[in-house]
Amino acid sequence: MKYDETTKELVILRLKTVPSNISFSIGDLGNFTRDELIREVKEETSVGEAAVKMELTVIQKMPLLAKKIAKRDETE
Amino acid sequence: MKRMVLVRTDYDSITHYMFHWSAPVIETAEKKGFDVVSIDGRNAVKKGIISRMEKIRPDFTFLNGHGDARSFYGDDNKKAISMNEAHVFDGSVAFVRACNCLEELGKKAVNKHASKCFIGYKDKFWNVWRSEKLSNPLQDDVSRPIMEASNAVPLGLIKGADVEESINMSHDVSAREIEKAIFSPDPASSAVLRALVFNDTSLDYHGNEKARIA
Repeated sequence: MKYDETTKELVILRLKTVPSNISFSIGDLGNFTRDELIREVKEETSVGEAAVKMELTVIQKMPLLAKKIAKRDETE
Repeated sequence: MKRMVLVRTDYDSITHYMFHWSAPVIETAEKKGFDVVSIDGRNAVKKGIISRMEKIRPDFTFLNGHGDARSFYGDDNKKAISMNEAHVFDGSVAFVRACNCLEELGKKAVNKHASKCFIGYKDKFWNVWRSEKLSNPLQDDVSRPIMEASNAVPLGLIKGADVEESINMSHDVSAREIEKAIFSPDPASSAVLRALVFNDTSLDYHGNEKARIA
């Protein structure tokens, strides 16, 4: 999966909001700090691709989740 | 008495977290009267896992470790259950907490063999943790929501829910924790949110959604 520069920039900006003492484990790909993950995205490695896929999934799913929460709050 | 086989690898950070976060599941299973056989750490190798599963023929199989579409990996990242061993899930409901195993291994266990249902992840399983909590995963508030959302599946099954209900319990825990993360002032919550959403999207099953183990 290749991604364009805008996507890459968006993912990097979003990852920068994560505190530096937080580590990510991505299955068998290993453990990564925020800064290591950002480097992987910049270098377009398989780990970087996994990070981009994760960020894009979250961006796509969040509006649906927000709707679900709002609907639940309405019925309560 | 219902039989449960649990495999817990423990050789890197993510398997270390899975190892410790399986403890509440074991505790609940024992309280519910399950005969629990746990194959842990260095013992979690192909020969031991296959022979014990063939002998015990568990009602419930709960595997924790690394995986890919065609294999579950045991200790030291060595293949333990591959496509040729998919028969070990016969007669069992399985929950495999490992990357990607659902795709082909799970499909074969159900479609070509006689697994009642195979629950797992279609993609990478993400965990997020505080570096300073690695020695005590059960005290890690960052990882807790991720592991509890995943644990909701085996806990639901052990308490008598069917597959569909147990998966929905996991979705409910995820939704509740995602909401908490959205409104949390803790900067770490943005990382938790990502793992929760991604894992929740990847959780799925092959087989009979009405299958039960208890």
